[in-house]
Amino acid sequence: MAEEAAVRAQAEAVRRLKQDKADPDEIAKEVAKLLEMKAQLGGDEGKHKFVLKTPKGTRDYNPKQMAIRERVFNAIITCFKRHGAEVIDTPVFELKETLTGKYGEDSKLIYDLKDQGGELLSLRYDLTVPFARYLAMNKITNIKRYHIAKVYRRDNPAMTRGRYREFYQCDFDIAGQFDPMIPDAECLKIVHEILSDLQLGDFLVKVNDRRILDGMFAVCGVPDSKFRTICSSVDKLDKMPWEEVRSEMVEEKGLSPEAADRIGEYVQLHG
Amino acid sequence: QGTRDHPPASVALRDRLLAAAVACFKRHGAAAIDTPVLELRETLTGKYGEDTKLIYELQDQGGELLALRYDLTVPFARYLAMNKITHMKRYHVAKVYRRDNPATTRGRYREFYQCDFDIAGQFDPMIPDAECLKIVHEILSDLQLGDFLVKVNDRRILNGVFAACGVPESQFIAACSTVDKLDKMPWEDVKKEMVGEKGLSPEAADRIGEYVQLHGGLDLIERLLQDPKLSQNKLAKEGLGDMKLLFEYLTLFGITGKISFDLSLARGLDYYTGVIFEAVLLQQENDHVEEPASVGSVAGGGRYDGLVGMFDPKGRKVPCVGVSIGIERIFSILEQRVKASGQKVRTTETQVLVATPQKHLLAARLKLISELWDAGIKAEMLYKKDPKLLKQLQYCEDTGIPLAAIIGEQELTDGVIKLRDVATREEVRM
Repeated sequence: MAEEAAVRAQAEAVRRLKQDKADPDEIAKEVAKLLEMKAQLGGDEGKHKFVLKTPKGTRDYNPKQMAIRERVFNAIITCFKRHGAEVIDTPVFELKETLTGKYGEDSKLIYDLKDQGGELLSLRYDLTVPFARYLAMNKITNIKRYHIAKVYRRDNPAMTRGRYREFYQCDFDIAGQFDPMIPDAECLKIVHEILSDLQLGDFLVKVNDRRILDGMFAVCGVPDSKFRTICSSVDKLDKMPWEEVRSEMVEEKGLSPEAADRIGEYVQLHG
Repeated sequence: QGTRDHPPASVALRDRLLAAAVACFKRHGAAAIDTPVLELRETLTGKYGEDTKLIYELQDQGGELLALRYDLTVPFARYLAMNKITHMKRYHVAKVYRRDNPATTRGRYREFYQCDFDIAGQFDPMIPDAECLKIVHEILSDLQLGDFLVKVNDRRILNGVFAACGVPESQFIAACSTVDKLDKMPWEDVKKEMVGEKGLSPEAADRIGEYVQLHGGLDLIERLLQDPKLSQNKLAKEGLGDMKLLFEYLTLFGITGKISFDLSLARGLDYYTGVIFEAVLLQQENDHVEEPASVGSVAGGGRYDGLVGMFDPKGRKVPCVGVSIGIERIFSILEQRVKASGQKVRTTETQVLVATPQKHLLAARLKLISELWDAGIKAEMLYKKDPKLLKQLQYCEDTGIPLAAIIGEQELTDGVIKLRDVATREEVRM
């Protein structure tokens, strides 16, 4: 205890010297003395300051969690294999330039690696851009592939809502020019098989089409330039009632009330 | 740089290897854990000695200072300390990251898998250590990589030898890392480095040379226990005593045929405190290897009793022993062999292709394939409305699908399907 108090006193003395902009040689001498005192104290100093945790937004998996995870992955992989998908793997980091310009606003959520004198790297944000890179690099025109791996996003982790900064994605994609809607149908069949298999209870798969949405906006008098922003308002209908969505479109996004009403007639339809 | 994509054939092979290792770990009652790929920089600091400069750091983006994990052992120690666990037998299969100079032909990448098995806890001496060696033996035998050898030594014996040979304690680590090079350099060169670079006296180096070129079994251990210089060194005696115990257990496990007590084994990492071991493949004549040294080690590990204590706020120690299987190196070797043999590896497991010979039968195909999937059968079909039968059969041959389920107009009328064996062309109506 006495040694620790002595170290603290010495540290305080060094701070004061630096604050008073004392002679640099004197500062150096006192700093050296401080370091020696700390070294003599042994590893204890370090342990008091040490924080034992995983990085924010990440977590360990204990054996029980691993057992559940393994079961879930098995169900998913079995389904992908049943449909004849091949598996690929890509590195966890990509060249920074590969990821630049692909994620719009979300680009600020990408983890960058420190410039340590080599290539500039970033951690992958999803598995789709790496897939596109893989196809282009290997000049592949047709492939049915699955990829299960972790991705990284510097989100604000609301941990209880299951949103982390490091999390698994299980992707299944079909690349290639084929007759219409057959591969699309298979993707939906796969979702259905997996969710049924995992016995999570009743579920619903909502389907729509960007072309239908855009066509609808055009017909309702939405200017072309506002398509995407109106689209993101409509997207909130699963969390907000129509009245609020309409308000947002008219008041915040500058849509005419008539156009909003016309949109309202369509977007509340499902069947 | 130093990374690669894994195309389907690669992943298929790799997954098989990992499955073999995991099956062995499970057979021995280990439970799996997983940790994040990111760790706080301070978690990794001070654990890897010289290798610290090889750690990938994340850019300071205003939050915590992070780095990519360098191995699975330090995360394990952190996990134990964080959860105040005193006993655990765990395995962990995951990728680690090192800013090495990737000599990619030697199978050395910057991102690579490790398969770790570790036993944490205070137990009676050498029993868990023996189990680790048994596991290495099982996995390497299982993977049919050919003949292999597991070298075993002990940090205490090494340090005891250094002391007995007149090396000052402050030079133990330097001497250790030089001795470690004996698997790549002849003794003459190692001696030169010890005297020329590390400042050891030539007499001390000679005395070391007498010991570190020894290897053998229980007989060697007995001989060294009688050695007048070593028997005066407490650490060496302790190490030799435990080594004898270990060999007795390994004899009961029936694996001493592939184990060698080798005094030249030093192992790079600082945190080993007791037994250390390394498995190497003994080169086959028909293996196409670029350099003899590139066969390298395929597994390594040892006892590290002090690591968890570095994380615990009260410095509480949890003794650990473990092994890391060098899955990437094994994978490179097997991949080379597959390529050399011209074997074709299937990248899918599809059992049957649903095919239609005439036009306008897409609906029938979709219905049938759905039935097959619902029954758990692995099936594919072409994404074409009216594909030609020849094209569909060609697809089977290209991807190795053994069977084709054909429904044509005739079959629909008769309420049957035709099952065709793609290789033999035999057909059966059902």
